[in-house]
Amino acid sequence: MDADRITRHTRILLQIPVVVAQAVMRHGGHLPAIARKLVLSLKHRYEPREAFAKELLDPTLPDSEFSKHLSRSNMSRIQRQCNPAAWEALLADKSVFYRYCTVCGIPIPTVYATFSKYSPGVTQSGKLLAGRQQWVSYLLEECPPEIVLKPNHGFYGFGIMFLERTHGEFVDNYGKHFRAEAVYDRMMSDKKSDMFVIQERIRNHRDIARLSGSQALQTMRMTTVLQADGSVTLAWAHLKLAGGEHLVDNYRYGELNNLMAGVDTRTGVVRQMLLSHNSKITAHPKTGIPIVGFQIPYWSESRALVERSARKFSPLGTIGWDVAVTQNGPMIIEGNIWYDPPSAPDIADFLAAFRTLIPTPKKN
Amino acid sequence: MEVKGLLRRAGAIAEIPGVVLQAKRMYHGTTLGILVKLYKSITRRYLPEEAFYRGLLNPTVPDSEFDRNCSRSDMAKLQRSRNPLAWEYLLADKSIFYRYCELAGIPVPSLYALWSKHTPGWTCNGRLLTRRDQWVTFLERDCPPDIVIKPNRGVYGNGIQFFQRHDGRLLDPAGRAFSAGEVLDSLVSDREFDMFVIQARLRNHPLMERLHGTDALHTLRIVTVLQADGGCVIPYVKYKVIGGDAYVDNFRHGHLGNISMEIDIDTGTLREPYSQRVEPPRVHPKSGRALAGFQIPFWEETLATVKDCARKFSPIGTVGWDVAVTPTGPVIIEGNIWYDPPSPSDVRPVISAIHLADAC
Repeated sequence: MDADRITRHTRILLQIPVVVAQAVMRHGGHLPAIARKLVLSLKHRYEPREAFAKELLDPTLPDSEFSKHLSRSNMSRIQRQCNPAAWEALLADKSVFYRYCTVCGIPIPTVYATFSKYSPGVTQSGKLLAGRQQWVSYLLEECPPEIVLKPNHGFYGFGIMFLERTHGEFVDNYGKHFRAEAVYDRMMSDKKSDMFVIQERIRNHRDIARLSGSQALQTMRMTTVLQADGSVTLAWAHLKLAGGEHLVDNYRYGELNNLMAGVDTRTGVVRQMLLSHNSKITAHPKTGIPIVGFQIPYWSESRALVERSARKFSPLGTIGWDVAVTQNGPMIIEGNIWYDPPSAPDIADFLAAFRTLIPTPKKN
Repeated sequence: MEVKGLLRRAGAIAEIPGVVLQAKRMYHGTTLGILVKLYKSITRRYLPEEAFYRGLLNPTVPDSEFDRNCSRSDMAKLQRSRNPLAWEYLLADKSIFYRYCELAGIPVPSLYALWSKHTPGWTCNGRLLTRRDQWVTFLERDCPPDIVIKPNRGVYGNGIQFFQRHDGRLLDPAGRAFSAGEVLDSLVSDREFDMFVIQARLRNHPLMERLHGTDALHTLRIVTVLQADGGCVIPYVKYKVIGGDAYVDNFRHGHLGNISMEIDIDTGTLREPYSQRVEPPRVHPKSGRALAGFQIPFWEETLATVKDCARKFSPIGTVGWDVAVTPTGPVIIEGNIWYDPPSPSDVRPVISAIHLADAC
């Protein structure tokens, strides 16, 4: 057994007691029935935490519910069959990803600078910056006042900082003040990332901002699958809406109170809300504006953008793109090859998109 | 100490007996004299084999020679100080490197296809090939007849195959004929690499082919260092001449019989050959033509292309580029962030350029 498998099995074993306790609390007792559901989940290659988040441990749900979902593990199997592992670095590292997008002519938020902990960084003009003094001067004098700092290997929105410079200081989205030196020190002392991208802060199209009543950048996850003839299928799309006060739109199993809305891939109209605990709503909980039926602005442009981007990143066969719709059109925020599986109602259509790449994509 | 470091040390210790024997045979020196030189090499961070191939174990060579050289380990330290590790993939993986270069408008050999063991492959017309029979058809009919197949992560020219198609069969430089299926089998059974690049085979400029007496591709190694203001300097260039029967120009410590020639950067002419270990040839072993004084064609264009290329890979600060001069101009073959340290007469300018960039 290899190290990865041992790690996975250990992780699963450690999750079991916590998840069983949570499921018993949520579903009110029925320990044997929950244990049976857990065993079934494991057979279908779900991790306990994942099965719990997808409500698959609910004893009242029929076993047929499993066939409506796709486990993270089976999703990864499909992704491995479509995406050469060597190309992962091109998407996993944001600093490399944005550079590749730039040479491809793919619209992205302007990269003002790339910071590197152990080697000189580079600014948009091509100047190299090294050392605290040069970076502090850059942050105070050269870079635009509104910036986003992203760790090059961040995911699920972790580690992103939104900063605004006023009177020689930076203020983050929680109102906390930082000197430029502190911003530099924070990047230098980050234990997870050696590089940061310093980027333009993007605002949503006014229709999307009005829908959620939030200043957070809310993106669409648009999943593309390349076909053998070189064409691109948009296999699945959903809109990620801010539900809480956070400035990132990641779902994180509902931890941030953010929302997910399934989108009709042909028309760009929201079909249904997808929340944690399987509850479904039709209007935004904060603004009360109906979400179902909402027309995403610049839909055909967004489709065209991800289709063009997918071709530029070939031989990567399937990518989950985060697309921000701004007042001036769509922009790619990031691409993921290990994107999360789609939600329940769309699985069959989603899997059908892989038929020319993988003869029989395995579901569960 | 981490496992990697321990393994590296164990490997270095294992090299010692063989290296001492080789040095004794070559220099006819005493074991003690060679061991003293070996000790001095190791304390200056040279690996035993590296010290031998650089001629540093010769007991008659003065100790000042250590200061004129730069160990692989010290060079790597300098490279790490200039190159963000996260960007290594962009150069180290040839499949990514060539796609990036094509998109960035950097001249590279035309990319025909990317073959992948576990996933569908890519062809330059955008089609994805998913089945073996599709690949067979591609090699037998669709792709141009003169091709090079390279492993995506190969180094020192290892694993590169050259083929020319005749009547549906693929001929290698030795004249052996293979079916497309056999070529595919060799890729499938390769234990080291999962991906291969299929690209156009290039020829050198006719003047260079005449000098070499062979149609094998010869390249220049050009080192670039980015400066603080975004400018680019070229502190070192060498020309890799195929001297033996190999079809690749990598030096590999002289095992392939290839010769490494230094170039006057200002003029683009070859200097006298240099070797710390053996007396290098003055004329090309195959063609008999004089090497020193040869003018590299398209010299100005070559330097301009490489500088432009280096800027497009910023923030990678220093790269060793392999550049082929073809009948139509310079073409980038690959870029290396872990390039080998240049020979003693050229290593100082490289180190100075890197330090200068740091100081600015």
